[in-house]
Amino acid sequence: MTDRGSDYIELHCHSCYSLCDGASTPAELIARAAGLGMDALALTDHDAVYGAPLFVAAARARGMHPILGAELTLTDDSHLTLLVENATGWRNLCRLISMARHHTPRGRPALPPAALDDHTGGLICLTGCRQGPVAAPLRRLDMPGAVRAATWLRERFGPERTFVELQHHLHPGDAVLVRRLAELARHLGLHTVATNNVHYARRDQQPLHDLLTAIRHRTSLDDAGKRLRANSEYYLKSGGRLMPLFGAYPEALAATRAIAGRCIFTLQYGLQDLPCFPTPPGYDADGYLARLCAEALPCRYPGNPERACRQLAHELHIIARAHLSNYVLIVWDLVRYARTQGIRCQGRGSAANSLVAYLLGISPIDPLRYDLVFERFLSAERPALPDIDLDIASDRREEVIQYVFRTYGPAHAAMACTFSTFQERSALRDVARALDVTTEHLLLEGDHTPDRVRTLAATLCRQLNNLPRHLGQHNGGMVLTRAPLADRVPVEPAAMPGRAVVQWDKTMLEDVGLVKIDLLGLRMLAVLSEAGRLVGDQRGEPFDLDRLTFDDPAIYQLLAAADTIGVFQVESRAQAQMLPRLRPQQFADIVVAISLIRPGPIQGDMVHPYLRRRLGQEAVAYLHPRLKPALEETLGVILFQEQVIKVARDLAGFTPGEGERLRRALGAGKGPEAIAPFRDAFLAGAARNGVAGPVAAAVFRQLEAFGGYSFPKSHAAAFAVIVYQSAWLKRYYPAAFLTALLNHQPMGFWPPAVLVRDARRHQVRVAPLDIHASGMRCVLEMDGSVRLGLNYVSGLSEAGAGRIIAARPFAGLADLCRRTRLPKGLVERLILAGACDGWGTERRRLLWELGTFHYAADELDLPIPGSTVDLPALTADEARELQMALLGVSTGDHVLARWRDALTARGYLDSLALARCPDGQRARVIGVVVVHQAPPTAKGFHFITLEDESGMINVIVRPYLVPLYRERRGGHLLKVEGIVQHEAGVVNLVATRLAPLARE
Amino acid sequence: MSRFWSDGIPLEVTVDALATPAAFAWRGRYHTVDRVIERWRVDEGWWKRRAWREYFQLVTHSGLLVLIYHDVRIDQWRLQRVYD
Repeated sequence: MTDRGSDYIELHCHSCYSLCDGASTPAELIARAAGLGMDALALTDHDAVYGAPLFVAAARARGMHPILGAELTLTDDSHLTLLVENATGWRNLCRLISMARHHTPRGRPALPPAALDDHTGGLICLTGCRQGPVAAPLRRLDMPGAVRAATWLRERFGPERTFVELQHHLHPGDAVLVRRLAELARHLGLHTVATNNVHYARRDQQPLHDLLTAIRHRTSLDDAGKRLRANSEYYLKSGGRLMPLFGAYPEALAATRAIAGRCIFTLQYGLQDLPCFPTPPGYDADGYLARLCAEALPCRYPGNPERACRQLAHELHIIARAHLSNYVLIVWDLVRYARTQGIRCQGRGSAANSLVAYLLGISPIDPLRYDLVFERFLSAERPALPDIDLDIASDRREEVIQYVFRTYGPAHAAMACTFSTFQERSALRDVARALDVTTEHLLLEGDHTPDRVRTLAATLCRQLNNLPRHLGQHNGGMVLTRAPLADRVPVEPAAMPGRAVVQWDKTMLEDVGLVKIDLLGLRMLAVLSEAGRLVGDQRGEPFDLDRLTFDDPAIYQLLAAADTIGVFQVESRAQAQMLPRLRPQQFADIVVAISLIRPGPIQGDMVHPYLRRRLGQEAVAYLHPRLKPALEETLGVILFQEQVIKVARDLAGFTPGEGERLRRALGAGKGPEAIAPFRDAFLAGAARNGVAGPVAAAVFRQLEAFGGYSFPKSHAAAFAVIVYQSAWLKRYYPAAFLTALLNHQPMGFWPPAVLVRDARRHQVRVAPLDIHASGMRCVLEMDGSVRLGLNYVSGLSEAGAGRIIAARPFAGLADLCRRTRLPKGLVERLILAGACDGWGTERRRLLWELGTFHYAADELDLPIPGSTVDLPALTADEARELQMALLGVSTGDHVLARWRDALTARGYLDSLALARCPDGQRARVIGVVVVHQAPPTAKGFHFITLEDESGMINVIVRPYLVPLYRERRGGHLLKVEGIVQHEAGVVNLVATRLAPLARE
Repeated sequence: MSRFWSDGIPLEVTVDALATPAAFAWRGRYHTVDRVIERWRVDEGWWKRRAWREYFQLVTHSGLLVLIYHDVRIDQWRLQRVYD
């Protein structure tokens, strides 16, 4: 390589964030550039800076200089390469991209050239590829056009910032074009610069790039034709490789380094970027925050406020020193708004560790009472931004989002984006289309003959895996800035009208230090709101769930009995198995319960040791004495997310920042390579602390198994409040609770049918759908029964339901049809679901009658005078089946109730009788399958939950029986023989024989 | 008028150190290359039959203007076009 060659820096480079027009990730490009000896590299994706944070991080990790930029599409379809010199340039680039994105329909950005007039400062302009405004006319031999375009750019960017871009990809005509461009540059007194318009890091990625091109154009590779590039020269090349192509223009190669040297912009934001919360006169943010907290303190801590006062002063001091008061006030304001509107919301995440958050009503948890440590929220040494995320009643979250837009203005608020990515499996369809074969051909199972196409497809799918495909809107992550957002990061329209997203996702925003507030929709909060309202109606006085104290023994009994169907977080099969062993007796136990049944503790094998230790069946032990402080509160096992950080600190001397990075790496699931550096550092650090190698390795293995799939304690505590509140509703107001649950489906672990049957077992009356009685939604009737709502009729729109409600009562079927003008199919569904039973006419007869009506296009004729027929009435079983099929719930008796006597006579036990069986006894049961699980952690065991008229039956299927039982769909009847197993209050039936029964 | 062979006709070519054609034999005559006017590269069709060719448009000392290519995968030279 010559000296000049090694001076080359690539300034025109697309990553996979040129969505479907780039095959390499920013990190791959950086790695390759480093391999080629470049100490800088530019990223110029199409009309976007999506990849910038990853690019910057990858470059910094290798000590390289990242240059940011973009290739902008102009309205005449020409392309312009822009590079960011300084902060002004970045601001202008962000504005230009935002303008291009907003100017045209979504997905087809284009910038009106006039927009460049005031936004060229700090930007270096390269005249672009073959499609550039200068090259394109030159290729048509339109010299005046080319001169005009180049002059126009020179006027906008200035001669020092305008470079005529030379590209040579060994296409016919490239050499001539380069010569003409160079001549034109000389003529106009402009400099030239060579680039390679990179679209992939290595030559062998050409197929992947062609594939992406075909996918982008929704065509096959064969039909893509000229849209594919004719050769594979668009890889990242060294200066040495480009030398022969630009031999006559050494200054064009050398210019790359000079330009790179001028681009000194770095990407970094911070808290000062948040909008200013308007404080009352005489108060700054620190002062106002202190005042609000001081005002709230006596109410929260009547009588003995000393400890709280001390803690408050400490927290306020740290918050003020971290310049976070403004941030806390902004969140407080959102919570306050939600509360005044009657929207349930509460903070999640580490905020619950803070007394300030508790006093302001952001967090529902008293951190002093439940031993939550403020330092986990914020400490002098904690580098990461604290996160205050809000869970909001899902049905009204939009109102809070709208409040943010109203308060701070659309120019200062937008949603984070998400990137939907190609997945190896689902990419198969795209690959099949590109290769012009059927997916069936690619999937042909059992055919092991070598097939070139299949091998090729498999390779391509693997390469596509995880590449970004298109942009979405993050579910609730909002970015707020003091300066207009478009000065910080490009903003583009989201699919939802009137909604904008920034060009970075959640993690990227975090990486560059832009503050994001998560406003998450939580259906259970909506349930609590509605149920709380119903309870208030029932009691005749306003009722506030938040006034509950967490000390009612009846609630802990309910939890310990695993009578938890419908209750937040603790209703699953796995929870039901664990709760009777855990026997929660106080609030802290609920925190443990929801933290235990998480992928982290389960995979880390923490659940059983914890339960044994808690029950005193096993001594609390630590792999090393140094672990005691971190793990003492959880009996020696790792249960909470922050314990990873503490273990890393105590055993291996990690700083909190390093610990946080370790936790993130473990949780990211990026495989052994990503973890390896952390392991090395961990083992080395542990050795320095005198920890024996095998012990340190064992602890690290535990951390790995634990991963990041766990709750921080504070988060679990905030959720535990919702667990308690929902359990309380189930215990004391099951009808109100069921009504609200039914109105916010889908949610939770169990389908509505199970919720309804469980409620019936708790003496809740559930009334069927009735066109004369049902409301838009499920309602609690005066007599205390739950009435199914018209929202359970699939296909019936809100407008249709509204017409029924407005027009009733109906004299008969014809009247219903005439005045609601519902389509025949819907009326049929209403009849079959029993909604028209009120007329006292049998359902089959109503259907017959419906069939005699003439549905004209818009008008309904009078019915033909009915000819009478004899039709058999529906049996109870038929009626229930229809109700299930049409509504997803059934209000009638359980299918087995009618058969119980016969089943008992044949020796089948019901769920109550089964629970009374001694351990080890053989038993036979029949039930409806409501859940069938085969968790990956269960080593081949399957778990089936059966339901009969009196409750649930847990069936354990050993691996050897699994192949004998293929039916996986729920809803069918299953006959099980097995051995009763009692384990700490949980009754299971270990199957020895399984036999599905035909329906009915 | 120039003559064109869509599949090209096989050619014996001598290359220099930079893999650029220096001379070739055609119809019993030996032609030495005067200068390469343009060269380009085609590399496409990887999903069925990959075509990877180095094209050279060149003038011989004998005054011929020809287009020849090197099929890199099978290491074979072909004459595609002779310009008048």
